[in-house]
Amino acid sequence: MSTQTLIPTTIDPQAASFAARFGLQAPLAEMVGHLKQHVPGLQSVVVEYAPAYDTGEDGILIQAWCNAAQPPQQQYWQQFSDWKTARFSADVWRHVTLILSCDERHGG
Amino acid sequence: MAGRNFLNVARFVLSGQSEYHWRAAVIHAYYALFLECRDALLAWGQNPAQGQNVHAWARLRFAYSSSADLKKIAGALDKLVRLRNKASYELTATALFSSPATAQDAIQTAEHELALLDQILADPLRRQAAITSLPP
Repeated sequence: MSTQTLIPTTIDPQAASFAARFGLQAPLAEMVGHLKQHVPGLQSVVVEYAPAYDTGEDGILIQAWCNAAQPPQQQYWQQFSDWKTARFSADVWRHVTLILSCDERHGG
Repeated sequence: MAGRNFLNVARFVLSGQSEYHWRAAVIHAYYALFLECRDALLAWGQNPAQGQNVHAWARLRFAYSSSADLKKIAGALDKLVRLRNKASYELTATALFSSPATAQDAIQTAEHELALLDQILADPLRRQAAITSLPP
């Protein structure tokens, strides 16, 4: 079994429904897979629905948690964001956002 | 442009000792970048359609440009707007705001992208290329 499959991943039903409505299941799976492959110290991934509130568009939020021993998350977030915008059209990537956080309660 | 002054407020409240200080820092970091992007678009002759949500308008103008720089800024706006929404509206306890780390990251992201926007604005060739890269 690869390390990737050991990282707990949760997808909430509203996020799954949003992904189905916009045909985002495959891109979303690819994004989560990419994250697991390229972010060291990844401890868990939660995919949730992100309401628009007053900012115009709802979407999907990938919340990824690293252990606290990892270097600042900005570098890995930027790498992921650059990959995402190069790999997918704006019609796809505009709907999916990553928040990458490090926290001692998530291992390390 | 004036929007970046919210970054000073973000840095100031970051030194506070509560979840709500750190939430406020995230909110101000988002507005610093968003308002600068909005004002750049307005200065470039772009205007939202009547009734269009201005947050989404600014983010999507950058997202659908053909410029790698503007797409990069759009990605950061996207991250910050989601964090801002959580900070402003989702008030149940979350590890995201249990320490200053998320706020520090949001401020760093806003600083980084404002520096990129400044480079574009300061260079007439890059600025013109950015304007041309926007969708019709």
